[in-house]
Amino acid sequence: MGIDTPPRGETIGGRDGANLSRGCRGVALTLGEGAVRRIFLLSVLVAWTILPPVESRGSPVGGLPDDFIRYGANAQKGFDTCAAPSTSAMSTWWPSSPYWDIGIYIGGSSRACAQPNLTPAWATAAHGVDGVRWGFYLIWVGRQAPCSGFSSRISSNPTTAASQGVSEADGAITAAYNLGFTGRNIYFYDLEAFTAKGALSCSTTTARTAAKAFVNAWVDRIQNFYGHQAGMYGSSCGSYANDWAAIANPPGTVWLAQFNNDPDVWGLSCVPDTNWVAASQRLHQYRGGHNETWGGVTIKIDNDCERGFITPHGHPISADPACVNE
Amino acid sequence: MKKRYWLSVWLLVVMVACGQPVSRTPQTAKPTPTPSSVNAPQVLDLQLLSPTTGWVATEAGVHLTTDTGQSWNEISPPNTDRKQLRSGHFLDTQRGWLVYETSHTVEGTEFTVYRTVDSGESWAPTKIAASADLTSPITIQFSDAAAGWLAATVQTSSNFSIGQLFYSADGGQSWTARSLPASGDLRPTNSTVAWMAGGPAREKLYVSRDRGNSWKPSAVSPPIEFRSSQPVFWAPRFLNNTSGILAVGYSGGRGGLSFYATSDSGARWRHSVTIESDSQNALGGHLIPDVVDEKTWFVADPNGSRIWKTTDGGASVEEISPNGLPRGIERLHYASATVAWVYATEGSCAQFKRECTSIHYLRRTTDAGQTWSDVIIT
Repeated sequence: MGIDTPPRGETIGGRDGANLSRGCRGVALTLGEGAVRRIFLLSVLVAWTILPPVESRGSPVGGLPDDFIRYGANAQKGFDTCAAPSTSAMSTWWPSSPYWDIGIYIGGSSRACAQPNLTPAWATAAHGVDGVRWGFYLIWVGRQAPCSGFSSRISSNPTTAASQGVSEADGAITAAYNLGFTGRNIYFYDLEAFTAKGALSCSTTTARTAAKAFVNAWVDRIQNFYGHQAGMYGSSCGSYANDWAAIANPPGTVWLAQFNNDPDVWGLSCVPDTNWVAASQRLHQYRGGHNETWGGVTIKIDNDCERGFITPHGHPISADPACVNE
Repeated sequence: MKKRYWLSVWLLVVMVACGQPVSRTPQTAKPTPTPSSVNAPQVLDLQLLSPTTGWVATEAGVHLTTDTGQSWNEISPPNTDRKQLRSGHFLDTQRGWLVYETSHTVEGTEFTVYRTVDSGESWAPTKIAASADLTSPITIQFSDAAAGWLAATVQTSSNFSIGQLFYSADGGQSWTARSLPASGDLRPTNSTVAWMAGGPAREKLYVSRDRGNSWKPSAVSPPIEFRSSQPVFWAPRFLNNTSGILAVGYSGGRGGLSFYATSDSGARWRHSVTIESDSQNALGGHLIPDVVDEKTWFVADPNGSRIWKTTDGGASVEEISPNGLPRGIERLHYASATVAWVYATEGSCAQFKRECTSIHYLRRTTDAGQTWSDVIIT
């Protein structure tokens, strides 16, 4: 399974700049040249006053760097946190820590932490100010496994589950856009282990069938409708991640959680190395919540190793990838 | 005339700008690099039992001192993989428990709890089999010789916080699975009551009054200046069944930490004092508290720049500028008003994003935190 480029589709958020020259030629045929010039200049003045600059229309904070336009492959270390750290913490960690990328929860019905820092300005500062160039895993955490103990759940009915997958995808796209991620992104859906909050109230088969329908719809919507890349996060075993390999629309990248303290993306339980084999299809969350201090700043993080897609396009892939060969 | 007019306007603007009052925002204490010294081993767990006694667990084993660290005695249970140690708790130098994560497969997790009543001369094991995928943090505590509380974390993403409790009523010989509302900082008051500060950002406080069978949320009213801040709870320290001290950190904008006291077993918490910090130290107001008794409390800035101390229940607070307090504080234990241990870990990279290592520090103070020196386990 190698998916290196997404299928083309509608690009959400693409907006052309205002074309102020339309219609001027037709007007000149009926009015004098001086009047046309005055009307034109007056129109320019009005447009300049009421319309935001073209470069900021897709980016609420005055525009992101040119490379912030699409996801790309990466092979470095990253981390994820429940709530986005402050801009100052991110600025300190960029030169001081071994991490290149951060996973951020952009929304979803199961999102637990308040996000006082997660704003378009934060995203801009984290990738494009003073040489700070964090990459991101955009994470959407919505409905969880059918019949599980989570309060927000996927339906056990596959048809309903599929429609829920579509809705979740729409929500993720909108949330990312509102944060200024207007290019082509990769979106990870956080689907936890089915029994993380106790035993299922239906059969495991029922739950897995519905979950597959949900994931299939999520991926289909993200990739085939919006033209982005869809990823899935989950426990390598408890989320039945290997089920995703056989659905009609498998996720392009999987982010597998197995807290074995070994960064390697291969050799993970329950997902054979024969699935998601291309060089940029896997991320591995290998250590759970703990504090780390770099540059004198402490953040509680989970550790990740990347051999997959992130947003924006990845950093230069080192001949000695920082996390893969450790 | 026009030139003089505009020159006057310019001068006026400059005078007004230069005459603005100086901001009263306190200067951010710049973190000072940790002075280089002996690199400690990675500490798996530790406990300071008294000013002169304590134990430290590393991958080299569990070591006990009874003479302020002048000498150490290894007390590790035999035939154990020392890397598997996750937590320990001693009631005194004789009676203690250690929990090892002895197996972890897709089917579940197995713990082995070792107990001793003779300072580690002999150990008795008990296995606990859990069908869940459990991970750190894992902590074990005994409120007395019989009642044990073993808390573990269900593996999830950073967005979730799910815990699993095992309770023992017979000194660790047998364990029963109980519920936990979250993963985090658990501290029992007695055999029946325990408190849990948990959640993805440890933003919630819970109490159980029935040996962990059920949990209820508990809340405190934050100081006015932190009404819009995210709280970070530390499980309260109870001096007896009714009197306890609770520390709550606040983050988001202004950082700080407040102490609350209760005299009715935690039914109500009364605000005592708030220590404000301007450290924008990421999430959770990472100021680190420690409670010695009902009047003596300490707070450390995790970047090692300051310690605050009160010995009168918050009526007055003294700020200490420590010498040798490391950055990246993970554990802070005061055994008295003057003696404490600290364990810290700080990472650094020799090149941009490359050759990154973590340095560990294990240090002690005998002057309330003014000066810190290395603890060397020999």
